[in-house]
Amino acid sequence: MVSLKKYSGTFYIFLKNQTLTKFQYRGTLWADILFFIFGYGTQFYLIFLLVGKFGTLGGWTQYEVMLLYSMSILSYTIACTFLMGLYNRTPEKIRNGEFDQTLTKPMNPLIYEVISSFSAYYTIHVILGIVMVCVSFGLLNVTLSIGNMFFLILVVIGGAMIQGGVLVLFSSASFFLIGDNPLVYSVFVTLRLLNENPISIYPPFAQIFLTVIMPFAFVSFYPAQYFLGKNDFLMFHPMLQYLTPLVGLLVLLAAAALWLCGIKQYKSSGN
Amino acid sequence: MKMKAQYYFTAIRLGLKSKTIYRASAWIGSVTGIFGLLIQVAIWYALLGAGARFDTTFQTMLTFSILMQLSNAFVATFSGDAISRLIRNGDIAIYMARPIKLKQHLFLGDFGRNLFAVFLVNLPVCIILILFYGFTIPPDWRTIAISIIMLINGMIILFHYRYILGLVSFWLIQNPFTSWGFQNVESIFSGRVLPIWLYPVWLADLTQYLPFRYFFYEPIALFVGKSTLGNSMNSLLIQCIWLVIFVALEKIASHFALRKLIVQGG
Repeated sequence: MVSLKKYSGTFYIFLKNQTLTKFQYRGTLWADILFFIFGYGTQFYLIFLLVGKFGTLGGWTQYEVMLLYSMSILSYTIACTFLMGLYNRTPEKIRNGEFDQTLTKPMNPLIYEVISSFSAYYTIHVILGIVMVCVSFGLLNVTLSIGNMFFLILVVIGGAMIQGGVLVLFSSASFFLIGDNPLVYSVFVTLRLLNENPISIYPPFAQIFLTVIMPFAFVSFYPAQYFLGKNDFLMFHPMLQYLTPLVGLLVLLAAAALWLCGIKQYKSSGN
Repeated sequence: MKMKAQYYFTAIRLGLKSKTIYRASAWIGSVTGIFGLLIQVAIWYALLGAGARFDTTFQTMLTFSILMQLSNAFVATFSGDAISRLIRNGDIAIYMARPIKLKQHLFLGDFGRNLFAVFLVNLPVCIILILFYGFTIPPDWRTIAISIIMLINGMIILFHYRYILGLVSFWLIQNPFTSWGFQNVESIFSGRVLPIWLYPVWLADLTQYLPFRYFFYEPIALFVGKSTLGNSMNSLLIQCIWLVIFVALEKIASHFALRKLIVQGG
């Protein structure tokens, strides 16, 4: 109980500071918001244009692909709100020895890193993500019952835990690859891009990879089938459409354990 | 002259070296960079398969995607982010004191880094794709020659454009023009993801008044047979006009940016 109070108090202080820092350049903030809206709008329109022109992509219509994209973006932005700071800063901290400071703090190093690098800025993306999911369901004429809405929230949280877990996992690679951690910069983005299309268009090895090894298919591809009443489960069991929250929890816990193990590899740069 | 060439060569070598110090990192980073192309190939294969729709075949789109990937890999530039960072940490002062201009330094450094990605990753993957699926080659040498000239022009224009956006950092410390959102907006006008010949007429018309399609779309459209030599001469002329505009804008922006610069500390 005392720990929880301590963590929440520390989190509040960091949150306040981060928010004030990020929001100090008002002009840039508004320009960013405008470009984010145009940026997501552009992606949406490109899907509409491409899939609309050809009818379907791997058996998915334009609005269904838009739902896949928006579910993926929403869970990604939630993951980034909590974990992008950790993901971006850990390699640099390990390289220059600044990680020493984290280890001397009187709390779990992973929790400290997460709460000290919470990114309030991403909440703008989260709001846009929610809007995109609502628009997609609207375009599909799908009305969700209270139960399905609750399941959608669980799926989005599960998707955020999968993407967040992979962020933590890749961030932990910095403990082993002292140099410029490439996983941090490009592998995650690539996996995310794969996830924005129906994975049925990829070769079977990629489908297995995205289901079993890096389970990004659980972020949107499998759960979207539940909401759309589709039956495109490739070589896998239809049960997968319900498993996103569980898979998310497992991925996040495994990644956190690996990150904490990685600390043992850390050798300070010294000064 | 000899001295200057030596400086240029050193800047390219340093750019290349920055990629080869952490070899595993550079390899993984570059390999993942090619995944964008492989995703495009999967999408076009799913949409077109063995047939042709809207006068477009899978092989046309494969050629289009490969050329787009290679062109973008050659001029991948982070000059905008680099300028922002140099201003924030004050290192810009060191670059001002160097014997070559900041613009040349960033261009050559990017070029060195890009050589690694193009020749060791992009090109081999593209060759494998070509061996498997084929490649559309124009029937006459003039089309190939003009496409290459236009591609080189497009690379120079794109670098100047990105550099000008980077210069905005002299006025706005957090530069929104280097953001993901802005680049996405560019992408729809450039025909990078979806070729402009598949756009609705109103959008295709709109792109003609903006510089983006003249970076790479026009030369590649000519190469894959979606534009004629006659049209391309017109596009070449428009490219030259955009080049003059961007070079002039860059000179003006650089002049005022240096006046604005205050280096902290000492």
